[in-house]
Amino acid sequence: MTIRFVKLLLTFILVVSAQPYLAQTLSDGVLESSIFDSQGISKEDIQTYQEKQKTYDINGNIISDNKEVLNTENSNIRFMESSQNQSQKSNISVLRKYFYSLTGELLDVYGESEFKQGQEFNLLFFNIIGRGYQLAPGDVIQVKITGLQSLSDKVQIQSDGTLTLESLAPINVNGLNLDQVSNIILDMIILDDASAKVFVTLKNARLVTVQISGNVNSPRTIAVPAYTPLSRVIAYSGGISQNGSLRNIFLSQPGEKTRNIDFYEFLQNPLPTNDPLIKNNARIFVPNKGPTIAAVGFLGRPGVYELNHNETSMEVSELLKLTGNTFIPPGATLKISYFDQDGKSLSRVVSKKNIINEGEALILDFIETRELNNSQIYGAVLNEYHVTSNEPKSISEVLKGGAVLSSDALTSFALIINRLEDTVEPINLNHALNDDRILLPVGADLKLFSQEEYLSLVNTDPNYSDDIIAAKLTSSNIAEIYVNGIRIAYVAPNSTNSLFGSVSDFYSITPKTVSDFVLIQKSDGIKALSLKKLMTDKNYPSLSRGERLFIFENKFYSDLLQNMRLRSNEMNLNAQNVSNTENNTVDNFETFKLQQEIQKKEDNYLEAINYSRNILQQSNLIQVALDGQLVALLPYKNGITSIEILKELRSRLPKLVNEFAIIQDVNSDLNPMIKNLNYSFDVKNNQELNLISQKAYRSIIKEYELDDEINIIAKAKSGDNIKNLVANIKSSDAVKVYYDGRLELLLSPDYIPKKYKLFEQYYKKSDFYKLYIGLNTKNLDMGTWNFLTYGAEEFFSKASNINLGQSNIVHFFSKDFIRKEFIEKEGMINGVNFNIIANNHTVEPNNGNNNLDGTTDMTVVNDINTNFEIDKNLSDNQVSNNNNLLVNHHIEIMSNSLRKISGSVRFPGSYPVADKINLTDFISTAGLIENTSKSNIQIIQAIKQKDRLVRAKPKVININDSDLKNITLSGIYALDVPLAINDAITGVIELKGEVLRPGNYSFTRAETLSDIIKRAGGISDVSFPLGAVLQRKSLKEQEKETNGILADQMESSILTLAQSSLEDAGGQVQVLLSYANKLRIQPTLGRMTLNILDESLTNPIFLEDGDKLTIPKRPSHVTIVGSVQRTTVAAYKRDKNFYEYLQSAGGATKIADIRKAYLLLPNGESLKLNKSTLIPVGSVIIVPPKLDRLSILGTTDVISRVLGNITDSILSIQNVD
Amino acid sequence: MSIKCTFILSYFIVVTLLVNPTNANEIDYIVDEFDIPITKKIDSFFNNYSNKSKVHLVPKINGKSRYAFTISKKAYNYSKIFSDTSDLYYLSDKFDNNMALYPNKLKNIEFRLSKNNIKFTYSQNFLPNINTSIFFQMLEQSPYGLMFDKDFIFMHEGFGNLNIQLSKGEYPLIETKIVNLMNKENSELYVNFSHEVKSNEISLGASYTWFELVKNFDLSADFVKGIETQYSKIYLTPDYDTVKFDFGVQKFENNSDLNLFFNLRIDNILKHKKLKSSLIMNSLNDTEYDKKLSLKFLRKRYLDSYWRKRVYFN
Repeated sequence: MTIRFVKLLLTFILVVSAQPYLAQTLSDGVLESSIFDSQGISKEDIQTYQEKQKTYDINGNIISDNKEVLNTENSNIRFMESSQNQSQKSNISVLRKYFYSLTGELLDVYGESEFKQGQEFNLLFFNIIGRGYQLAPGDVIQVKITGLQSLSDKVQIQSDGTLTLESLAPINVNGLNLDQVSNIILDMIILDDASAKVFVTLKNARLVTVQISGNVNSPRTIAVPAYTPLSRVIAYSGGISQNGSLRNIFLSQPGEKTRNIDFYEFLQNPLPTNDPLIKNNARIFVPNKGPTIAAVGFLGRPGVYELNHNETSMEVSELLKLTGNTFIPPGATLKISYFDQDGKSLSRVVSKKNIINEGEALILDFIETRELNNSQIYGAVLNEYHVTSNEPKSISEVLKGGAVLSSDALTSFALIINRLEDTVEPINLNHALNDDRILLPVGADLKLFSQEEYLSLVNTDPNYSDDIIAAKLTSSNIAEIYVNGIRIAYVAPNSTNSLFGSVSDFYSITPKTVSDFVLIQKSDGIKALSLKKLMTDKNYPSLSRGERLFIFENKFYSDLLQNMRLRSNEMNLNAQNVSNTENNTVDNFETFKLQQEIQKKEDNYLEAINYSRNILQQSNLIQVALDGQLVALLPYKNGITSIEILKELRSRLPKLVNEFAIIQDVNSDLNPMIKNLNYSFDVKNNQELNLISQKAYRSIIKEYELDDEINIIAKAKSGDNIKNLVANIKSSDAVKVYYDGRLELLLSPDYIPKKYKLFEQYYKKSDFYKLYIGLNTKNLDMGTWNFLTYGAEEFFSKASNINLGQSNIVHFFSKDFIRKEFIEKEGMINGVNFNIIANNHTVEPNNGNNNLDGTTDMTVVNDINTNFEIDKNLSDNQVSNNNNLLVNHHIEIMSNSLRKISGSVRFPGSYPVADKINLTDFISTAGLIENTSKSNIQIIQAIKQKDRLVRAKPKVININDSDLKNITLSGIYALDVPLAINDAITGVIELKGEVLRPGNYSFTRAETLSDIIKRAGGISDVSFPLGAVLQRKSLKEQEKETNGILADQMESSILTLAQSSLEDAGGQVQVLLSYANKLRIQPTLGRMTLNILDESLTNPIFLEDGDKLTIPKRPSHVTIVGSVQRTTVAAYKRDKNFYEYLQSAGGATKIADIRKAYLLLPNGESLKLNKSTLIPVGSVIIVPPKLDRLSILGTTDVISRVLGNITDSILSIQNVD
Repeated sequence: MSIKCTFILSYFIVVTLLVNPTNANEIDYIVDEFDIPITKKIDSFFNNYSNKSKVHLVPKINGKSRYAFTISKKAYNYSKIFSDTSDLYYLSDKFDNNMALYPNKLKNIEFRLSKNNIKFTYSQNFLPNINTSIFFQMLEQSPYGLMFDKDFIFMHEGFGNLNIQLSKGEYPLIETKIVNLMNKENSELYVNFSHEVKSNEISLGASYTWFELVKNFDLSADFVKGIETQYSKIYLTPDYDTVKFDFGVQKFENNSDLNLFFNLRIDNILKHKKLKSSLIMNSLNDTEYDKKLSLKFLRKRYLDSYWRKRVYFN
C-alpha cells in the first residue's frame, strides 16, 4: 500500500514537472482575474494605474515608485495584493493540478467544501438536546418550579456535579439526564406542595475539549460545546487540509473504542451515526489522503474522489454513484483517462462494470442534440415559442402576421439563424411580413430584435464578441450603414426598392447630416455619391451584400476634414483635447477611472476618424479647401467643373478671390496649378481645389512677400494653413503682380489681362501709371527672365494678344512712384535724356506748313544703344532669390525710356514709357490742365537717319480730336501742350488804405486800376487820391538800381572834391558820402506816380502782378524840409504860397538856394517852386542848400536828385505806412 | 519885285485869315470867360450832363486860349468835399488845346500918354471877329482915324493880327503882327510888318523876349526899321497882375546916344466889368510899339497862376 502510494506520488511529481508552466500560468491567470473581477477592476486598469504611480525624471527614468504612498492611502489595493498572495499559496493542490492535467478541468476535491462553511463559535448546541442529555459539571440548566412556591432559576452544575437551588439541598446531578433531575427536585418538594411541578431545561451545554491533529488546516485543541458532531469540530480546525483524508479519520473518545470515520458515508448517507458526537477529551486524527480518482463530463458532481480506505480502485458504477449520476444518457460514452508509464495521457472506453484505478479519471462524454425541424422564435416577441414544420413557412405566417411581436420589436431587421447551415440571414421584417415569398427555412430560428438588442448587436465588435450571431453576421449576406465611422445598422441587402429606403429605416437625415456625399463601399472600391442626389433618386439600388454605406454628420465631418491631411499620430480633436491627460497627478482612483473612460472615448473617436479617413482616401472624392483648410469633400464625377463645385458650396463659402484658386493632385508631387474661378475648368478625381477667401488672400500675399522659401517650408511644418499655402504657391505657376515693387496680387495664369477682374482696382485707380507696365516672362528653356513693356492701353486691350503665362510677373507702378523716382529726380537720372526744350511757338492744328526749324532744340545726351546696355535676361536663380532684382531692372529700363512732356500739364517732365503707349494716357498721366492749355498738342518725334537722330516734322493734334484715343506713340518723341493765352487772370493787386473794400484783387489783362478800385467799392471820402501809392515790383528793382547809380555818381564826384583845396571840402565830402550811403540803404518802394481818379481811356493804368495800391487818408499838413531854419510840418492852408510856407519854417537859411527850391507832390511828382505854384496838402517843400562851390564840380544836379530821391522815398513810405 | 511879292502875299494871308473861323466850342468844354466863378460853371456842367465823367476847362485869356484842364468829376467832387482845389489841380490833366481865338465881347478904351502925343482909343467888335477902333490924338497931321484889326492863328504855338489903319491926312497903313513861343515856352519872338499904301513905305520890326529871366522880370530886345524911324532897344518887364511896366534903353539909328525909357500900362483903371480901360504912358515918343502881341499868359506854366485866380470854391 505504502509502496503504491509512493509510486503514485512519484508519478505525480513527474507529471507536475512535465506540466509546470501550464499549471502555473493557468492558476495565476485564473486567480488574478478572479480577484480583480471581484473588485470590478480589470487587470489592465491596475497595470496602467501602477504605471501612473511611478515618478519619472526628465529623461524618462523611474525615480521612485509610489507604492508606499499607495499602500498607506489605499487599503483596497493592499488588501488585493495580500489576497492574491494567499490564494497563490494555498488554493491549488498538487492533486488538483494533476487531474487538471489529465482532464483539462480544474476539479474540486469531493467533500472538501463541506468543511469550508463558516462556524459560529457562539453556538450552544449542534443538535437538539434530547431528554437523555447527561448533565455534567459546567452545564447551565433552567429550573422552573410552579406551585405554592414558584421558582425560576438559572444555575450551573458545580464542578463536583452538584446542583444547588434555593431552599433545596444540593443535588448531585452528574451523569443524570434532565428528566431525572426534574424528578429528583419534584420528589424533594412534593411533600410540601402537592401541586408543585418542576420543569428543567438545559440552558447552556458545557464545553468539552477536543484535540484535533493530522492533516487539518489548524491542528489544535479546542473547546466545543458538548455533543458537537465530528464534521463541525473538523470545520472548527479550518477543515481538512489538501492532503488530508476524508475517508479514514480516527476518533478516540473516552470510554469508547477508537473509530475510523469515513466521511463519504456522512456525505452520501443522512444517518447521524456517520457523524459521531464528540465527547469531552476526544481526540481526532486526520491521516494523509488515500488514493484518488477523478470523474468529469456529463456528471452530477465532477470532482476528485478518494478511494476507500485501503483500496486502490473502484468500480465505475460506484464512482458514478458517488458523483450523483443515476443514469448514463443514451449516446453517452464512458472512458477513463490516464497517464501511461511514460506520462502520456491516454484513455480507454469502459463500462459501468469496469474498474477505475487510482490516479485515473472517468470521463462521461455526452453530445447534446436537439430537434432539427424545430424553429425557435425568440427575442422581441411576447413569448418565445417554437414552430415545428417539415416545410419552410413564410415569415408572416410564423409571426402570425406580426401579432406575436412585442411592442418594442424592430421591424426593419430580423435574423434567420440557420444552425444547420451555420448561417445567419438578415431580413427586413417589414418587407418579410408583406411578402410571403420570404420563408423561414425548416429548423432555422428567427431572432427578433428590440431596439435595444439591435443596437447592442450593432455595437458589438464581431471579432471580440462571444455572441455567435454577431460573429456570424459579418460573413453573412448583410450590408452595413456607418455614421461617423461607427456602424449604426445592419441592413438586409436588397430589402427595399431603393438605397434611400434602406437608409431611412435606420437613419433619419437631419440638418446635421452632411449632404455633400455618402460613400458606398463595394467589392470593387469605394464610391462617393451625393446624398442629395441619393435622396431624390428613388431608383438607386439598395445596398447589396457586403456593401457599406458611410454617412457623416457635421461635427464629425468637420473633425474629419481637419485631420484629413494629418498622420494618425498627429490627429487631434479640438473638442476633446481639453482633457487634462498631461497632468500626472491623479487625485483619486475615481478621477483616474473617469479619465480612463474619457481617454477611451477619445480613442474610439479617433479610431472612427481614422477609419473614415482611410475610407475617404480610397474613394473618388474631390477635396475642397478654403484658405488651406479642408472644408468639403465632393463626389467626383466625370467631367465635373469648377462651376458645379462652387454652385454646390455656394452658401458655405465666404467671398472668394475668383482669380486665384489652387488646384493640386492629392496623391502626387506635381506642382500646384493656379486657376481662375471666373472661367470653368475641369476638376479631376483626387484633386484638391483650394479656394482663397478675400481675407486670407491679403495674408497670403503678405506672407509670400515676407518670407523666403526656407522659412516658409520650416513654418509650413508647424501647421499654419496660410504658411502651408504660401509654401505651395511658391512652387505653383501663379502670376505675380507687383505694384511699385510690392507684391499685390497672385493670379491664375493663361488669361489676357483684360479678363482679370482684380486688375480693375489698379488700372481704374487715378494713381495708376498707364505708360509703363513691365512684364517678365520666363524662358523655360534657358531658365532666364525676359523683360517686356506695355502701355496700359495695349496691356488691357480686349484684343490684346498678351497672355499672362505661367509664373509671369507683372509690374505696375503708381504715378506717385514714377514722380518720385523720375520726375522729381529728373536731373539725377543717367542714361538717355531726350530733352526737348519747349518753345512758345504756336502751332495750329491741321496746318502742315508750320516751320519749327530753329525754334526747337533737341538734345540727345547719350546714345541709346552704346552707352547704356541693360541686361535684359536675368537668370531664374537670381530672381528667385531676390524679387527686387526684377523691379530694379525695370526701373533701369524705365530710366532709359524717358519721354518728355512739357507745357500746360500739372507734372511736366520726363516719363518712363513702354514701347507703345496711348497718347491720351500720356497726357492724362502728366495731368493736362485743360483750362490753361491751347487746344492742340504738339508731338515732336526723333527719327534716325544715318546714325543721327533728327527731328521729324512736328505733328499737331487737336485735344478735342475724337481720334485722340486711338493715337499710339512709339519711338522717340516728346510732347508739348502749349499754354493758352491767358487773358483771364494775369495777376493780383493788393488794395490798402482808404478803399471801401481793401484786399487782394485779381485782374485780367485788360483791367485797369480804375476798374479794380471800382470793384473795391471806390475810395472813401477821407481818402487822399493824390497821395495814392502804387508799388510795383519791377519799379522797385529799377528804383534801387537808379539809386545805386546815383550814389555811384555822387561818390565819383566826391573824388574830385576831395582833391580840391576848397575850404571845408572835407565837411562837404562827409555830407555827400552820408547822402550816398543813405541812398544806397534807403528802402525802395517801386512807386509809380499815378492819378487814381483818372478814368481816361486814353491813359489807362494797367496792372502788373504783385502791384500794391495804398490810398492814404487825407493829410492836413505840408512839410518844409531842407535849408530852412526848422524842418517843419506846417498846417495846410489853401492858397498859401511857397513863401508863406517858407515863413512857417522860419524862413530859409543863409545857405538856402531858394531858386532851386522845389515841391514834392504827394503823388511823387516834383516841380520847381515859384510864387504861383499850387501847394497841395501833404506835399513837401524842399529847399536845397546852395552848392555853388560844388556846382563847379558838377555835383549840384546830383545832389539835387539824391535829395529828391531820398525825400521821395520818405514821403512814399509815410504814405504807405 | 520883292516888295510887290510881299504885298501880294500879305493880302493873300489877310483874305485867308478872314475866312478862318474861330474856335467852335464843343460840349465838353467850359471856356472861362472870367465872368462868373468857374466852379459854378463846372457844377452846372456836371449837373446838366450827369453822364459825363470829366470836363475840359479852357482858360480864355485876352480872347485867346491854348492850354486846358481835364477835370474828372470824381476828383472835382472830391475837392468839393474839402473846398480845396489845390490837389484837384494836380489831379487834373493839363493838355494843349491848340491856340484858339474868341470874339472880344468887351469894349475897350485906352489912354495913351507919350512925350509928343496923347491918344484916346475906343474899340469894340464891329463885325464878327473884327475889331474896330476909333482914335483921337493930338497930332495935327492926323487928329483921328479908324482902325480895323483881326487876330489870326499862326502856325501851332503862335498867332497874328492883321491891322488896317486909316488916319486922316495919312495913307492907309496895313500892318501884320505875329508872335510865337520859343525855347520851350521860355521866350517868344515877335515880328511885325507894315506897309503904307501908296507911299510904298514898309516898316519891319522884331522883338525877342526872355520870360522871367531874373526872378519875374522879362527881358526883351527890340529892333525896328520903320518908315520914319529906326531903333533898337532892350528893356525889362517886371511881372505884375494889372500893371505892365517896361524899362530899358533905346538907341535910335541917327543918334548915338542911348536913351533910357519906360512904358507903363495900367489896366482896368475904370474898374468896369464890361469895359476894359487902360492907361499907357510912354517916356519917349509914341511909337505904339508896346502894342506888340505876346503869348506869355498862354504858356503852360501860367496855368497854376490861372488856377489860383480862377478855380476856387467860395
